[in-house]
Amino acid sequence: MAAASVLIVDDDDGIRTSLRLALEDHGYHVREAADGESALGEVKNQVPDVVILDLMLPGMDGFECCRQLRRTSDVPVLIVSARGDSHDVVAGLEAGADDYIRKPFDVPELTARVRALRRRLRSAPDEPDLLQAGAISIAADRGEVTVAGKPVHLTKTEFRLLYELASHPGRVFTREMLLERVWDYGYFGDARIVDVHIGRLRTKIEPDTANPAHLVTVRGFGYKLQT
Amino acid sequence: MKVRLAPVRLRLSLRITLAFAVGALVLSAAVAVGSYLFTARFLVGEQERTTLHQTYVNAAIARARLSGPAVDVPAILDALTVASSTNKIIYNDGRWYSSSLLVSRDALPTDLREATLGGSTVRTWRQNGSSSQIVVGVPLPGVKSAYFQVFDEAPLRHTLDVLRNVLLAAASATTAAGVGLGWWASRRLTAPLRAVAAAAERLASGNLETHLPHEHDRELGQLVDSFNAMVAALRARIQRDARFAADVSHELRSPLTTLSTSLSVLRRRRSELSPPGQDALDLLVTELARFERLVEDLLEISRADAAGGIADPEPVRISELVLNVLEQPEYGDVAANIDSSAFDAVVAGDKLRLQQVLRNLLENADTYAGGATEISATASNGCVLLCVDDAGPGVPPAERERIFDRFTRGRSAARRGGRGGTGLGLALVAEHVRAHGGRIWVTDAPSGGARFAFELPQAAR
Repeated sequence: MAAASVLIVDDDDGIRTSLRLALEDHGYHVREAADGESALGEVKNQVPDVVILDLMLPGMDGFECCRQLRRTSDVPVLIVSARGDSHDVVAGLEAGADDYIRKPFDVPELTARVRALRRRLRSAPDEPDLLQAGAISIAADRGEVTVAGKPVHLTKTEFRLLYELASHPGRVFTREMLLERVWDYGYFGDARIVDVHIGRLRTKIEPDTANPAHLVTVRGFGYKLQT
Repeated sequence: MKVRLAPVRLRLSLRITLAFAVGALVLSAAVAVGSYLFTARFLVGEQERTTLHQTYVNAAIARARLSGPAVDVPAILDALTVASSTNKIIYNDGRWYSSSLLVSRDALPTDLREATLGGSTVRTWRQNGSSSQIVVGVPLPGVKSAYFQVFDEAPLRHTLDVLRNVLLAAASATTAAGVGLGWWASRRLTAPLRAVAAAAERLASGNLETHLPHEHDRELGQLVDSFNAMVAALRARIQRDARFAADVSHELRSPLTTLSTSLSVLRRRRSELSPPGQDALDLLVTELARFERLVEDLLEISRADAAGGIADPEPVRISELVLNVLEQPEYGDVAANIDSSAFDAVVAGDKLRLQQVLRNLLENADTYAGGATEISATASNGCVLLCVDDAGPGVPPAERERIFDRFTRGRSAARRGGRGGTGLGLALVAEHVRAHGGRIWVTDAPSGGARFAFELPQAAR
């Protein structure tokens, strides 16, 4: 795969510079933005493979920046939270982020997350290109999803999540299984990432999100795709 | 202010009820006894007066008849009117005549008889079986006779008994009403207290939105207002603390991120450094890692302090938790010994925090005791007991309590340098276990090392 391009959005010069050094040392192509507005400009200019977005930004904050990004692009967004409380993380995920990492992080941990986000861009070679589960059909080669014939636009992560569930319709996936398969996490991933993404996926494919017909919660276990 | 507590402290509501009951009892008993005594005195006095008066009248009639010609004593006796339960006796010329077969001259006390026959009017009380009698004797001089009247008190007694029973019943009813009123009053009176207590409990369990509705009563209103003011102050303070912790964590984490990220570049290029440079780098890496952990532990412990309990408990399967923590490569040689009783044991809690408990205990064993040897889990009596055993020298009994305090490293740990630990790991463990409603302690492991044991309540099925 060609050198991946990463956009670092952080107002802290030290962090930006050190991240640039570290990621370039790992062979990434790095661009920087110091605030939300210039980040949106950078993405408009040229969409990177992954956006690493700090939540605490001057002016437009990370949440708003993420929402604005999502309006025009399904570029994978990895949010960086320096705050201890989990509200930030959930709010960031709900704003459309694909994954999160806490400051301070290890560079290997960060690159692992970035790699996992990039992998979601493509389907594995041994997987079928076409999946049909009830009213939902997925064309993996074109990244297209239709629900009852109507096309639905999903981000890469949502697409990957739906693809995993649709590959075994009716089978119950625990949050941990989904974290491992979609996000490349071991047991220590944060299950809320799954919950928030399931919620977002529901708003896109369910006629009534309060009574999901496709994406069903199996209490105490996880989720399954019902056909 | 020093308050001496009475040895037995009854509940406030019980005390109020009791006070009402005792008050009602005393009041109704006093009224009942008073009315009984007054009525009895009045009735008896009245009876005595009536009897006396009647006797005099009858004596006068008897005397008039006896002094007439053709004396027929039984007829005279019959002609005299008396109240019921009254007997008449006439002594005439050495003979005795009675209006009743049941009452003869023997019914008259001897001294009264003699005094009357001697010429004195006498009135006396006499006990007859269970009831008493008023006996009045009037001499009838001139006709060599005497007139006696014996009034039996039994019917009066009966009336008084009925009255007594009625008064007793009324007193009991009043006392019962007093108990009821007291109970009602105590409920009314303690209702605001209970509301405050319930609100305080909600507050203690972390619900900072607790608010008592406005109270119109002035005294209760004061209590409610000061309670609400206290909650508001507490909320403001907690929010300030939380904001401060968040700001501190941000301010600390940003430079830490820059440091660790820059160091990671240096680590990748370690081989390009001279040997002293490499040593300095290694030192930096180690100390930065420790500093990071210290910051994380500090923030975590202040968060745990602020939170108190578990916000959104989820079911955590203990066997899964243990196996997953041990899945990490560095703990490959730690044995997992899960008793069959604990296979299905589930705890309602925070999975990440429970993982941290086990990880911190494993790390503690690594840092101070040459590594953990075994994690065991058993379940009984609705609790799960987890034990982390290590291969170290154990913890001296004197340090077993203190070891869970913040920044205390055991003496034995300090001797061996104690590097790498933050001094907060076990405090955090204790904090998390407490937050889950459990307890933690240290004993000796059967294999010789230390055993960190903690117990968590199982989730209700």
